[in-house]
Amino acid sequence: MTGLRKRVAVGFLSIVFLLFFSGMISLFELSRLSRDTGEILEASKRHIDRAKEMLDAAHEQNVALIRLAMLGDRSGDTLYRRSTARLEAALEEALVEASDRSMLDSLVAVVAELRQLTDPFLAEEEAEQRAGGRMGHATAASRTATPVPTAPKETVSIVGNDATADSTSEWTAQSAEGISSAAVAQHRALPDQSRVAEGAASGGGSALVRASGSGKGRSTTKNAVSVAEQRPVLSPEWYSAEYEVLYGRMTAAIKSYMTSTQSSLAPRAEQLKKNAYRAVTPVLISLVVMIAIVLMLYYFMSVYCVSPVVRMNKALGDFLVFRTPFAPKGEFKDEMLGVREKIETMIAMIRQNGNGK
Amino acid sequence: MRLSVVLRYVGVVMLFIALFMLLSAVVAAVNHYDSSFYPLLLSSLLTALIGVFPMIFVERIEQLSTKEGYCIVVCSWLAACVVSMFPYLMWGGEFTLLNAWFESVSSFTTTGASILNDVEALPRGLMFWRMSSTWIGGVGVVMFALVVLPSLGRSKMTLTSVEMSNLAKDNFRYRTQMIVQILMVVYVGLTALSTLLLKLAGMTWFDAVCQAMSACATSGFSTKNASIAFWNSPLIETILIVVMAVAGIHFGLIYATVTGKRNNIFRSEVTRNYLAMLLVGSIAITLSLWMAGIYPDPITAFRYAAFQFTTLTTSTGFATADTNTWTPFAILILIFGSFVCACSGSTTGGIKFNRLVIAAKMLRARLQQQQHPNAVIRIRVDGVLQEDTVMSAVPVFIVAYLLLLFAGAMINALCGVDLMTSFSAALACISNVGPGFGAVGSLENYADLPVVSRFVCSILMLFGRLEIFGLIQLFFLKWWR
Repeated sequence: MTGLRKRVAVGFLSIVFLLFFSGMISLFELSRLSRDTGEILEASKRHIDRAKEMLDAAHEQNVALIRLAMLGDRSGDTLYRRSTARLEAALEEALVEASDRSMLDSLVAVVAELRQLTDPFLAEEEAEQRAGGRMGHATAASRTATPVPTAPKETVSIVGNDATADSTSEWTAQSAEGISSAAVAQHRALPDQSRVAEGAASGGGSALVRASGSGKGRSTTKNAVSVAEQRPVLSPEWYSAEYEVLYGRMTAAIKSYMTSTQSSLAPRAEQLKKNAYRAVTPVLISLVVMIAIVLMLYYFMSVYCVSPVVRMNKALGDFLVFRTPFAPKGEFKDEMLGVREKIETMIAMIRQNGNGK
Repeated sequence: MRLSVVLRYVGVVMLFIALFMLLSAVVAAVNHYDSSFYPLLLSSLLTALIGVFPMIFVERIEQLSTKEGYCIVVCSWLAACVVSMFPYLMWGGEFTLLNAWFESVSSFTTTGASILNDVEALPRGLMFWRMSSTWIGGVGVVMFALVVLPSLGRSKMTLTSVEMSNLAKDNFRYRTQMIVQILMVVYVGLTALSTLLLKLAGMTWFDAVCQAMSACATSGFSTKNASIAFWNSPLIETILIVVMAVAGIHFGLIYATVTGKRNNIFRSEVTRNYLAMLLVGSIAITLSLWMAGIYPDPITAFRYAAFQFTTLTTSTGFATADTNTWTPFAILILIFGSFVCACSGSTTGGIKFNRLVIAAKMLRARLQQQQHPNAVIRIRVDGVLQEDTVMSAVPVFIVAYLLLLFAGAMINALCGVDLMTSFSAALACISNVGPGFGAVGSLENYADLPVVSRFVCSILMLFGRLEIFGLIQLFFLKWWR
């Protein structure tokens, strides 16, 4: 390459290129970092939302079962189904998204246990609803959510852990939140012709006990007793002995899922730190290289531009003042070499003219 | 001294290094654009820019002074070590600033000491860069610069007087371009042959290429954490023993042997003694290990003894066994091998076997002189009369070597490192061997050494590779007229 202007231009362009280059790298890496950060935050939010959904569904389930077990409120059944569906949907989403499904094992297991515990009740409830038309008002009356009067003496308690058939009960309307923790004063048992004791096979013989204050209890059919012997019994004892334990396990599993997913984000956060390092390091190295190139450019301009001018200036000055020969030392290139040669030629011409005169 | 000219030649070297970085980036791209692709690509661009920049301002110069030659060699090495850090730093992982510097210096000086706890965690592109930088270092950054230079003559001669020791040049008088040709043919040829043999022995292509590069450069970097012990293959170990032993011989002699010339390895006294040393040392270690019951039978003992002694004597540094568990006698023989190393004119480090031969002959001459004070006793090596300058340089070199060794060991000890580790780390680094004993044993690494120790070891590597005085002169340029 010849020409000082070209050399200097290329030199500066190199520096500009480096600056641009380091800027581009920085932009690329930082945008990647930003994307990764966004993904981590979104993942975290999704996990928390899902865990919240599961907790809400579990709580709704609990309320539903309390209504059924404590208050005999049949609307709890619909609520229970809905909440179960919610919980299972949220669990399904979690399973799909989870990179490590093992952290959901305990939750899946406890939900399955819960289904096993409550499915017989729900199945019987369906059958009861199908037969609900045949049973007439008496059955319907037995399902009211309002406090029911004292059960007649002829009611039969199928399974009693400590249930007593002749115990009187007065339902007190309590808030759903209070029921789970408050002591239930009494329960009542009612015969239920439509129940099938499927639940007897599950949970070691626990059963659901239904209470009905209807006088229709008198008119149980011949099969009522045998059917009643098999049907599950929904009672506060069942709730505290069977369901509450599972409910505790389920909420613990959900909370464990929530914290474990947050823990699983730690490696990603660590990766984020590495990405940040990788975003910064190329830029730093580019800047170091740029400094080296700037120093080289300064040196070369000094050697090939500044220094020749200074030396020629000094040599000319010495020539004019002391009449020493014009012989600047150092390296001269391109235009500088041309200038020096022209000055030497001019001095030679001046001398010639002077001698000629 | 014309700094601009020095910068231009260093720039040429940088361009060559940038080419290998680009090649490593291609390897990364082939490996599904692994995490080292962008670091290698960016490093290649930056290094190329550094290399091209001086060439914008400085034209090709053919006449170089000795002083400029020295500066080009030393500055090329230092610059190569610096730019080689770029991919490591950009990739991250275990590579802090000091670790990247250590690994880089270890690569280009073909020492083979590593700070990596998990070599196998490196992406393929970075692994290939690590190996190719040792390969470049093996033949010498400056030699490649000579290959790409357009002219012959004094410039190359000046440069080669630094890069190759006086012993190598005095033993074998070729024109400098011939030296370069020998290096290229022998070095590249040996690498290719080793790759093929290792592949046939059961390695993958990638491992075969990398291990071959490392063996021919007598570096010792491996693609596996367990080094060569990973394969547990007597065939692979045998191949590597042969390759390492050959790589420790003067390349000119190998070329002469291959081309059927008279001055070949069979007629070389130094080479014969070197090979005999390898055999005797291996047998001595075998007997020691077998009698101590470390290995059940002599064949197994010989297998490991031969490999470890060859690898340390040739300053390679591969590992097939944990030498820390060996007998003290065996360890001392290995230490001796690490001191002396192989022949001049090869890629090995250490004092060089030639100097040992000359020292031994000087000792004998001294004894004869005492018996016959008026006798004129000349020393010949391989039939070549040794000049006084060469003979006087040998003891000076050995003394300087030992002083630096002990200085390095003392600094290591000052940092809290135990005695065996301090001494062996300093020895392994100044001899460019790689593994030592103790905490830096054959199956260990340098990661646990204190920061100061690691830095000192990296400086010792540079001293060893530049044959001590090459680096020391850099600090006395001002007085060089």
